[in-house]
Amino acid sequence: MAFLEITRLSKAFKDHKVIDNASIAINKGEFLVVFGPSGCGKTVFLRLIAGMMTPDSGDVAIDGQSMADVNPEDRDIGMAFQNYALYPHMTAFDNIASPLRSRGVAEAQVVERAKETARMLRIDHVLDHLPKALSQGQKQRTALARSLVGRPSVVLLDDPLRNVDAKIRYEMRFELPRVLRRYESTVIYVTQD
Amino acid sequence: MTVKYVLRAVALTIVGLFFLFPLFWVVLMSFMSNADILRNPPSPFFNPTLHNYIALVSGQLHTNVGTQTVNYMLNLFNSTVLSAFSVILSLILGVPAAYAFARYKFRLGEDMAFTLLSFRFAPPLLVLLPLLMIFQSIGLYDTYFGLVWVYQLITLPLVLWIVRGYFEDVSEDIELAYRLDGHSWLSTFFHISIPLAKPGIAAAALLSFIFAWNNFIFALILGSSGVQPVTVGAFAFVTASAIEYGQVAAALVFSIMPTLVLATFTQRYLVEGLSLGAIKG
Amino acid sequence: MSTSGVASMNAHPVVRRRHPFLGRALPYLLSMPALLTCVGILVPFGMAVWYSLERYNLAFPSTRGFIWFGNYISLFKDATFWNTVIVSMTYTVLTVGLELLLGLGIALLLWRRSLVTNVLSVALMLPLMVAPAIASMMWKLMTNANFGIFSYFVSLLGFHDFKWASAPQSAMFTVVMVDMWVYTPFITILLLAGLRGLPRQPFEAAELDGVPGSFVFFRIMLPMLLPYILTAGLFRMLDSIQQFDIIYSMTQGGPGDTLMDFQVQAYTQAFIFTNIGRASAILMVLWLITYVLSNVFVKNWLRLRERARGGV
Repeated sequence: MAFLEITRLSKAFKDHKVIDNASIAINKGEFLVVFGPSGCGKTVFLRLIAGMMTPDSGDVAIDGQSMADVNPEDRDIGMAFQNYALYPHMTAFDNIASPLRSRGVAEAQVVERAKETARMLRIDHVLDHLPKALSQGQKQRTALARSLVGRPSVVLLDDPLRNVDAKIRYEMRFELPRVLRRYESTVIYVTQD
Repeated sequence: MTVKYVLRAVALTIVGLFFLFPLFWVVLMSFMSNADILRNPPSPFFNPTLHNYIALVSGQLHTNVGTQTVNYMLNLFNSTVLSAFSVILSLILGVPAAYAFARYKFRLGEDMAFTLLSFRFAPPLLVLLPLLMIFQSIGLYDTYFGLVWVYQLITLPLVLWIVRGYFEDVSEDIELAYRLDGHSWLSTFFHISIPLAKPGIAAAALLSFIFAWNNFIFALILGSSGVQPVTVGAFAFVTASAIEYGQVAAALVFSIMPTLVLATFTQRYLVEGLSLGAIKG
Repeated sequence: MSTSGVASMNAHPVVRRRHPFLGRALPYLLSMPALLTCVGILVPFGMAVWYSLERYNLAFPSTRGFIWFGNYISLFKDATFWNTVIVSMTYTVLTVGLELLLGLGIALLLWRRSLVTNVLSVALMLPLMVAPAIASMMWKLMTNANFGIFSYFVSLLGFHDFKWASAPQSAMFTVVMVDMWVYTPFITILLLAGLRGLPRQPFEAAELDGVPGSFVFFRIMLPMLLPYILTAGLFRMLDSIQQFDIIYSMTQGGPGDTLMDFQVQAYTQAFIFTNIGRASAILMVLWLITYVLSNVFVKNWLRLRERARGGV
């Protein structure tokens, strides 16, 4: 059976069917790219998988387990948002460490793993900055680091390269796959471009 | 061009004088002896005295017929207790509710929000009369407990009104990110939602405190000398004849000092709250 | 290559079953206390309605009984009630009208940012922070016939022995003054925020085109400010029509019944004449007026907020 299975997913807002009977099976470690123009429902799709919204019908199953009654915090999903969604009142380090601390990992471990991930994304030198002091590229990589540090089984990437300037986007085109492959996650990458 | 400038300067001066002079003069009066106050024509030159303030603090007031014992300090204490506890209660009740109204669009919620808002505009005496009957029969008349609950009519709508807008501005993505990190809803509420809405919560708390402090009619009707705040206490002063006017002035100064000081130091929050959150930043 | 011994923290996650009930009930749970308050207030409200339909005078307890709309009918036939209406309307029109004018004028004066205007903006907030009841008492002291500083000033202008709130002719003037002193800053703050939020382009364009100032003011600025003016005006209207603190602290409704507006009159009926039934009827009439006005206000305010949020 596929690792991430989406069965006949539907979601409508005010008579407008945004997701209509979508079914996809994704195998473990696969990298799925979802294309589409803005407004076509890609973000809604990700949010349904993440558990922020409940579908009108259909089901999302991870590793054979239906996510219907499962809260977002229990789904073992990492997500990098288009506008980063970094916690503005915490340092980059605390942002990245958040998924580890919530699961009661020992602080020493937390520091080690967060720094390791930051190093891999080349932001280990700005870890004590607040998000507002980071450049777009750094913010984007912090968001990525946060989504990966907990080694979640599923990683959702909502057009993370959208708001980043051309040079960084070019670099990340190569780096991202490299980083993701290293973590062996199952990835859904949504983009307009 | 210079004419315009002069006109502007004159206008600004008149405006400034009109709004600030009364405050200035009352403070001046509070330092005047009775003789200085009654002097005709009045003069800004006099020998200041702390006489009036000492009388108030000690509770021994001077009148033409001797001294009278009045516990105005108790009124100050009452105001503080009533305002503080009302605000705290409103925050406890209102912040979660404001969050619910901001995040969830549920029918009952819209109706509730509207009803609570309309309390702000309803004539208080309408419900105060029946409340007086109720309070007297269940022994809540002249109690802190009773008044703090009734003060919610003033403070709770304000908290809801202001804080709701701030919660609406907190990005849902940030909350979702925190949840995906593994935190429960409750943890997200306390570590993300509330800290990010802090300016709004502060503005609401401040404004509510001031409005509660300035309230007059609630305590007038539902309270007596036991829980009387400074507004009602000052009224008793002003209407009591024979109390030296300097002392009356000092009592008035005492009653406005806390809110004025609070306002000066938190001015930015107040302006935000006062513009009803209708105009954001 | 597997990178660490703790490969996936959550290889087999311990899943806490989400309570579907808890999830859906969350908004209600959160707003439960607020809901209870809403419900709670219905009890005294209902009682007030009931009282207004009763002949209920504490001094004549045996005559207590249901008389349907008897109170209302006797109200509408009573000259003192209509006096109340006139007093309230006069007070409202004067305060709202004058405060809007003055408030707008001051907002325009303070529009340009400079050290002076910044200091003044802070200073102007102070009267607003004073309890209206206290403000009234302050003015009562300052308009005292014997030693009041305002009486002195006014005598310098030729008005000797100006009676301020002690005379029917000048009582309304006096309390309106107090109201203006306390509440004009509120209008100013709101309008100033509105002014500062206005887009610059229309004004720059007008300046380039050499459009005269009065045209700019009346045809460009005022219409753009209209929502703010309406909001401020409605807000004050709602307060003024039910004014109690200022009038009660100054004269308790006197001299005579020159200043008997709705709430002061109702208070007098309830606590001096012990006529609870009649007082409640007066208050119900007032409530109806404020209910209608507040509906208009909230709709307008919500519209204003959407505008400010989504950009004009």
